[in-house]
Amino acid sequence: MALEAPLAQAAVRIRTAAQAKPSGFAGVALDDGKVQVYWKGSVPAEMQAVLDQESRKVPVRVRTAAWSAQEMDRAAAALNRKVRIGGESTVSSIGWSVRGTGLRATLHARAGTTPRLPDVGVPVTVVREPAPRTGAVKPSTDSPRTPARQNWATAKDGLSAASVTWPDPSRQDDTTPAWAGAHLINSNATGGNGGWQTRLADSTVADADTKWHCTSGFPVRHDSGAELMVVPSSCARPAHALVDPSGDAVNDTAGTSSGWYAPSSGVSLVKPKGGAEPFVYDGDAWTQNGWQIAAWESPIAGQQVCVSGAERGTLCDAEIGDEVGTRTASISNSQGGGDQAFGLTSLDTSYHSGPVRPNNKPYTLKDGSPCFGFDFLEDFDADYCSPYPLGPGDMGAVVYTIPANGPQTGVLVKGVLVNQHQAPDASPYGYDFVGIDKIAASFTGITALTVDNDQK
Amino acid sequence: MTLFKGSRRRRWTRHAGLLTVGAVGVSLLQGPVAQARPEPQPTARSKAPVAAVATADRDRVLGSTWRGSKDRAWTTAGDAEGFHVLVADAADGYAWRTAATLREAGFDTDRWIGNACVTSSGRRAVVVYAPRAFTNKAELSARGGFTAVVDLETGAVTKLRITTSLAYFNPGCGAGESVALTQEGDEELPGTRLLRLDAERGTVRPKVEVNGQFTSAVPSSDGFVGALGDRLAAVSGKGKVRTLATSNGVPFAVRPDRDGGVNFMELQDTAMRARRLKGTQVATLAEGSAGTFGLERGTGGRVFLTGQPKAVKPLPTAVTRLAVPASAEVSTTGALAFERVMTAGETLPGASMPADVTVPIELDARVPRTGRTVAFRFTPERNDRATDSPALGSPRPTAAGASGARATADDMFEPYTPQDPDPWCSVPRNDMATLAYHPRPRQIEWAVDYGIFGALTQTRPANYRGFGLPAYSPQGMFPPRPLAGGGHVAAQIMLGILAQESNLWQASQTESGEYGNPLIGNYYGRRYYDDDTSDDWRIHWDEADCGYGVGQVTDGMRKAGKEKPGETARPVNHQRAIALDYAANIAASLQILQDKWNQTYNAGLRIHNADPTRIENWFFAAWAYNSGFYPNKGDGSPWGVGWGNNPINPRYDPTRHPFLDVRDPFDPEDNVPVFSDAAHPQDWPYQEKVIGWAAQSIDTGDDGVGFRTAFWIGEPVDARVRRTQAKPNIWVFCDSSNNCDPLQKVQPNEPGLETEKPGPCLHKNAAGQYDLKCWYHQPVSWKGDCEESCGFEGIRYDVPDNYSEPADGTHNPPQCTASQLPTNAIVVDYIRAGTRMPRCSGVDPRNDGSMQLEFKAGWPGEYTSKVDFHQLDNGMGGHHWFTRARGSSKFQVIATWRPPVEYSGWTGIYAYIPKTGARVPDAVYDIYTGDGRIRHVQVDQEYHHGSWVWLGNFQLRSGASVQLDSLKPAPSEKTIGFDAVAFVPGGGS
Repeated sequence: MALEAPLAQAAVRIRTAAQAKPSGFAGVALDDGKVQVYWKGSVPAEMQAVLDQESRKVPVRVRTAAWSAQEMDRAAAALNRKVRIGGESTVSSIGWSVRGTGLRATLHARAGTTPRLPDVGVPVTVVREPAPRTGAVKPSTDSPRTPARQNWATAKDGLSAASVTWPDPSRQDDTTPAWAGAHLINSNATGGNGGWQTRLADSTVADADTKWHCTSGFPVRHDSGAELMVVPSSCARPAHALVDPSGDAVNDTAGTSSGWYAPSSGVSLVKPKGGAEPFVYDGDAWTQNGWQIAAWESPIAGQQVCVSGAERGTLCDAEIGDEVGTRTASISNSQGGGDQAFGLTSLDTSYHSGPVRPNNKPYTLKDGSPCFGFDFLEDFDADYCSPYPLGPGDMGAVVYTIPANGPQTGVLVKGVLVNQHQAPDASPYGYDFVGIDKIAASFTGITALTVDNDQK
Repeated sequence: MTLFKGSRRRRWTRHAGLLTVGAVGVSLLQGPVAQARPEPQPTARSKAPVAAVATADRDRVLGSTWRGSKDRAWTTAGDAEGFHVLVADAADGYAWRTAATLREAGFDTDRWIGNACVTSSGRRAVVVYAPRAFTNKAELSARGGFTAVVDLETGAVTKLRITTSLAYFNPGCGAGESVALTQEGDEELPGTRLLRLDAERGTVRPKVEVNGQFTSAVPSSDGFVGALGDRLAAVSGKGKVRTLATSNGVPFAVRPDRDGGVNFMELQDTAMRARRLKGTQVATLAEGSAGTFGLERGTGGRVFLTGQPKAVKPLPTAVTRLAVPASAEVSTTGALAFERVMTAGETLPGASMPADVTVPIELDARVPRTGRTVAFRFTPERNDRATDSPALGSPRPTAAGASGARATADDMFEPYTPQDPDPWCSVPRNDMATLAYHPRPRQIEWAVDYGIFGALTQTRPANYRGFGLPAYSPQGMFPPRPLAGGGHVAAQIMLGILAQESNLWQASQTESGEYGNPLIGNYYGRRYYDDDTSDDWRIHWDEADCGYGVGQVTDGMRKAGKEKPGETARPVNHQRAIALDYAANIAASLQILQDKWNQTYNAGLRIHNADPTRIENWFFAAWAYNSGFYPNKGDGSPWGVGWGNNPINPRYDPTRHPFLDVRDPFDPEDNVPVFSDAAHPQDWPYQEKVIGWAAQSIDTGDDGVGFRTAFWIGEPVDARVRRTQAKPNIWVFCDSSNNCDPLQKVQPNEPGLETEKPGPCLHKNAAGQYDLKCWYHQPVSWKGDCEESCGFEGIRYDVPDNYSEPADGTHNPPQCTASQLPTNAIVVDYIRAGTRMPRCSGVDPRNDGSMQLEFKAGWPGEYTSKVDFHQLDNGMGGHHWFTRARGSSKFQVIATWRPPVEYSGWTGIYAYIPKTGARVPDAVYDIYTGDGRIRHVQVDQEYHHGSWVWLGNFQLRSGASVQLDSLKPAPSEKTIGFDAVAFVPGGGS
């Protein structure tokens, strides 16, 4: 991650220069230790000068793109319009790759025959979400979840959940000033999202309740002087009352603005009580540790990132996908509906290491027991624990990098996680987040809250 | 820091023929003094060097097949940071990259050295590496090299649990991924141990012991092939020895080929042959003069005949003739050959460069296929993704630990103090009141120039430099010994010894002008030279070497009551002066050298006219300074100087040129010494290295050339040749007087040596068995006109001119005050009240809170984390600590800074990052504000070095603290510094 920092900085500069005067530019990505610039046609001289300048700092390679960003963006908008006009409900998302290879439409796994999509002038690759793993706990938004039975306190094998309490303060019980990556529960939600689980007396795992769980994104400073927190719009609106798992009120609902709600961008602003501090929790679901936030930096395809979620903890085995600010998807929200969000960025995850079961990420349940953490629960956990590294309660998690060189003394925020591909029956190894540039453009009067401008 | 050439095993090709040049008639009166130490100059180059062949040029330069080529060029380079393995693939236009940087922690060295070979697949390199100083110890040189496999594709490093020889022929790659590793014997441990490595799996078969000196080993189908005396021999996996072919001289450069042949070189006087054994037949492939051609090894069983032999027979298909210089390194398929070009920065061995400066490497390459040339220039990256070496072993309880020994008060404090409670060496490490001064080379030279004349008598006042000593003078404390035969020690011999022993360092991890821990050889008694590397970090106080300072003075440097057998501890003040004051150390070192001269001189071991002011005449004394002298017992038993440093000992490359000499002394334009020799000093006996340093000097980055060099007189070429001839022929110390005959080969048959083939040593033990104890004790002369042709010393500081001691160095002045911070800052540092640092002498120490260090134990009762923990004086208040962030709990150190316990409020927190000893990019300062959350603030210490870095503003409650843990950064060999932390009420920015 640290080694990519200079590449990412160069990539941002290249993209900014290319977008200032669009021609054949398709996008930029990090790959194979190089900045890969995708371009349709010949690179203009002035842009070549920029590339030459950056090449003196980091390896830069120009690759041929079949389609420019402009072409793909226009085609994606047309496809989105026509698919909706045509009522093609099996399409869960549409996006295009910064590598200039064309559009991609993703179908729900439950879709039957592959639909014939309209011609928009750019080829469309149709992919189908793989079906979820049988037996895994599945996120649910379209049907009521079964909450945990209330006899879990008598759990066997020493898992006396009744005596378990999370540290105070921690992700599960944040204090003031608020940090990013803390557990939020929307008191105004009309249903649950399966964003918290617990272990039952029979050692199986089930949703902890029927509430809507999510993660505090990251703090920003408003021109008014207020310190606000970015959260997914699917999680809460500015006037929704949020609490933490201990039941403590987290935010002020008074004095909020309707302008702080941007569902088409997938994000919303809430006002934490007692303000915010530029730190993001780092570690498992009960951690008390956090990284300082140093700055914002736009996402770049191929970049390794960390994600700090309240349900599953920090994950640093994630990579920004090829669709950077180019995805359109429908996201279920806490009010029982769905919002179409534009300009999303894809995030690819996998998990290949772990102390007990190497193919699954251990995570902590509400009762304090770990999923995938005990050999003697292996059979149960194989059926009931999620194999996916991030869960519904992690929506809102801040996406960031940890640079290891230079003046910064903290992490660089890339965006906020808002969507898991694709509820309810798709493979959730892929996620969407809202890039920092998109967030900045969605609200007026906000700037990064960092170590440099944090107030007493 | 200076980069040096690596040590691919091709060095035998260097101009060995020069060694046989006869005496050159010169005129003392007519000839100008030779420019013995010219200013280094880069070789003139016709093209601007490149890091890779440009894409547009590749077809033309490399030929059209480069895209699909599997050819891989590789080389090695060592510097203070480690031993770099560098590769470049044809398919990438030979873009050079650093596959790995190898080093081990806990060694004070200016340079890592080593050897490497690449396996038959081209995928892996097997590397033997060590600090340069390992070549000063016979046992370390013979079997102390750390050994690792480097995956050239991924950079993955597999460090082996064994250490092996640093001799030029080790490691030996063969067919497939098998590699022969050699652990050499010596006078104390005869025989040779061979190990077979599977480089792909990183596994090593049990060792095979061979009686006698088995060299140039490579793996065969079921064992090893190599040189045993003057024969090519096979050793089975069970140790059975079988002769394959006889040779004229000891075979070397043994190269198996893909068709089952074994190619090798042999040297007989000045004639050299390349030969090939196939089946039972030996055929000569090429003949010529020594050093004019070579056999290089490629992948897939390829063998290349390079250079310009006088005659070449029809070659088998497995052997390819390459029209490249004999000294060229060849890529895996022979598609590229290259020679190292000495850069200005590279030509000065030992030069210390700023931490963030890496000296580039330049190569002149030739593409045999197209005839094109390419000049490469690239900078090695520090690719030291090091994990713990197996040498670190795993914790294992000791008997004492298992028995739960009762804790004492010292035990209670030991985890929290940097000092070791019970060392056997006299002057401690990590004691803030015990800081050694690192002198400039000029100061060293001044002390030597004065010391050799007994004039190093300047008074050091009481508590001079804060040493805590009463008033003394260096040679008042350590008076010079009169030399037998009169005269004085040649200045450059003493300087050469100091260069070889310590790189002119008196203090550890410092630059000139700085203060730090004294430089101490094996303070902890670590057994990094035995067969078992799992115990390398164990502390064995009773095995501590205790070699102190610039001269690595060992005698009498243990504590009273802890002496080595036959040793008497020096007085405490003497020990302390030797450890801390370079001038006192030099005075003590001079005594030792003078004693060696007198010992050898009085025993009749004299060179030429025995004038001690002439360089060559110190050959015996320098030999004895390193490996001792076996006195004459008068009973007919062997005596004299030992076999280990005998120039004819086959562990040294028989065709070596003089250490650090120019490539071609007959070429007046060739003024650049081959300083890459310093990268593989194991190829020369100690005394030849001393003469090399005397002739060429060392440069530590200060004062230009390190010291004035010795010089040889005559016409320019004559003087240069005389300098070259300062190194005697290898057979000079092999004659009837020590029962050694270079023309004969006898069968050693002392128990343990029965299978030794005939060799030149004819000495027999009392039982009439040949025992290889050909210790030498006769006068020798190899220059008939030493008065004219021997080297002269060069005195920079003539005593009659009454020079004062040169001014101190000025590297990295400390930040003595917190003047950059608001006046209300609460500064917390380790400095204790009443302590004054040498370079902040006028400033009261500042510590407004408390700073605690916590050390983790690697083994019960053994605080391994202190072994590589250091102090320096360029931090805040003139002092700081540092260690390396190697990601092992055995080396974990945690520092905690606390403001006064009752302090609270909105506070800006700053950390001071010292100028050196702080290079990790990811130091994590944990802020404990008192609200229950732990705030991580990451600091790139290298970026912020020499400054206060603001960690942020925080609402602190009573009991707040800041913590820095050496275990948190990504594992590496980079340093992590612990200095002051400041708390600024009201906040900062």
